[in-house]
Amino acid sequence: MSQQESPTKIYHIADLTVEYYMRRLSIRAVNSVNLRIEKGEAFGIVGESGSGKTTLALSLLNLVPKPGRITSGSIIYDGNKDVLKLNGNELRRFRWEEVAMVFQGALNSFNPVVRIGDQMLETIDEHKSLDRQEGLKKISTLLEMVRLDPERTMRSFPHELSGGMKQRTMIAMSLLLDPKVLILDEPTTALDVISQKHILNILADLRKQIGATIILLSHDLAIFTEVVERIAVMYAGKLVEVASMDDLFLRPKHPYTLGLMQATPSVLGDVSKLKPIPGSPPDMFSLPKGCPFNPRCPFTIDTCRKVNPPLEEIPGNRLVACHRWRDVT
Amino acid sequence: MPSVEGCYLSTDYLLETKDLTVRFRSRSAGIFGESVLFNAVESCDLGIRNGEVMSLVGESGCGKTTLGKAAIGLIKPSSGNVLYEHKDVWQMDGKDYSEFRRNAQIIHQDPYASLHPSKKVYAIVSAGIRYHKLIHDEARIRDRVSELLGLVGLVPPEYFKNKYPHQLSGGQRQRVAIARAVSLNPKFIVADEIVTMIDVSLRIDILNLLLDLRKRLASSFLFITHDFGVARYFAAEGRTAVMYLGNIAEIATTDMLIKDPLHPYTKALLSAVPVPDPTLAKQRKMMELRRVDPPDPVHPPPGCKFSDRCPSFMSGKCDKKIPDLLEAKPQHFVACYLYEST
Repeated sequence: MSQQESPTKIYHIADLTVEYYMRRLSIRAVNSVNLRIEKGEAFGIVGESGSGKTTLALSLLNLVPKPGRITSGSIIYDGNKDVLKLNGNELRRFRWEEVAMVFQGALNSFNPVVRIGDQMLETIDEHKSLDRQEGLKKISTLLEMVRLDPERTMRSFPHELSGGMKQRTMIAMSLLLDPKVLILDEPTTALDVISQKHILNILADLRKQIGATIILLSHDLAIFTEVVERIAVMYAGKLVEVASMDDLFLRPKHPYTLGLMQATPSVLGDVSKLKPIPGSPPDMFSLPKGCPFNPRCPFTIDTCRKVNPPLEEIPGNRLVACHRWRDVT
Repeated sequence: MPSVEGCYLSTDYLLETKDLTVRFRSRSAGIFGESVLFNAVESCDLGIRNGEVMSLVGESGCGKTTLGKAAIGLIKPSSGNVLYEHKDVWQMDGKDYSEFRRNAQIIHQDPYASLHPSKKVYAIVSAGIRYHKLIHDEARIRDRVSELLGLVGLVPPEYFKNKYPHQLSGGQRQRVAIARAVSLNPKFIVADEIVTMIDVSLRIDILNLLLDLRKRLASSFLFITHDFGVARYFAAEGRTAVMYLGNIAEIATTDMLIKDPLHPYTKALLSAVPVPDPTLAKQRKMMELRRVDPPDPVHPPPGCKFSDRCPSFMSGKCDKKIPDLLEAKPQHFVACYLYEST
């Protein structure tokens, strides 16, 4: 990844910090994140619950809910648009028309008493000047892309669709306004494995068809192997490693990434090699001094307890935030 | 009808379900919808031997939790039997039943909901011991609770005894639930999706703890999960059963089931499981199904419930009657017409 500014970046996030304020306490859900996402790439963000991945994704739309606040940093979209400086009307257009997001648990957010077709038309009417026929045509095309029967789906009420069908409808809906970026937060978590695999296949195809940038968030490393080219690993609000999928899986350089891989049971491969990451997930109210992973890390040395390592570029076009990345194999 | 019990001396079984059916009433869509009866669990034969670990794999809504609850007597079967040490659980006299209750325990999925929010850990873990009057002396109860907390890795026990559940993390809560389940030295434990709500990095820890306890207590386990990888890890030395819409589709040793699955549904599931390895992931292809989306469980297709999605569907056969669970290969049982003659 080139560190030079270039017009191929769809997102350039610099030094982003997001804090949640509660009475006297505050937590840093996102802590000085620097990240560049290329135009048209499929990018994954992996992290356990509470690691800050959803907050990071919400900041990309300037949609962090109260009591959260973006306290520093900038998010430049497509080379020139500062997302954090958009006014109300600009933001309204930016969201969904430029960047669409499928939220976690979104499959329960349909209006239960309105037919799917009408819910989708409503969105088009609100944002675009298409007539009804053109609108319907657009909806059919998108529903076909997510492998649903357009006629039947448009006539259905949400409860008549299965979980996988609802999630696919949601994806079609997010694409109504031809966004350039599609963010999906845990899109397959509540689904059975067959529907999950189906959705991942659809996402991979969609990318080829519409050429959009896809940002996929999940706690499950395994699902990324289906669609993603590059992955960022988050821990305690920090990016700890960013690498191509092959590099990350085959040659992890951060001890946390390595630990996650060794802790994920699979149906293939040797199960006897599995081992847990010791200790417990970080308490965001009182993070340890130095590297936030140091109490659980088998590679910890004195420096790790004192200095929080920055995310630095290492050979092979990848980034890692670890004092001891050279020793991680 | 030869079924699972054909292959072992049936005296081996600690717990058996025989032709077990649990029927629920479900209201069809809409507030004025008619109510419909449907079988959440249908004609299930499952036998768990002394000290055996069995994983039960299935998608959400397939009836695996209902089967687990019926197996420890928390849900009354609509028809069929649950036998514990060859005695029907629902025909037992008071003494036998109390003995069964003590010996059959469950660990629930959600450690945030399964612990009493206004009781301290000490009261939660000691409740069973008091109820079954296993120990009378308060000082010895205290020792026993300390021992149990130590056993599940909540050390120092003195620290955790006086905590309320809300003061503990998800992983710690699940450990309290485990301590409670093993407090009575049960012979049979149902573990229902116990790591689903636990952070990925801690899952193996909880599974290892349970495997370790299993060795100490020599208990049998029915380990319910939707995750094939987790099922494989837990029952590496045991058997795995696959369930689909209320029926058992296939049972075999875990190893055999994963290496050589027979039922088309098991094959489809295994082909869809994501693997955390990019090289392997590229080579894998999901099995083509006639339909990707599962049917409404209240209105399954006639005959084999997988028939409307199965790529090997045989018209006139699969849509007539639910296939029996038969031994297709030694120790390998499958409910599918493809293997009827073998």
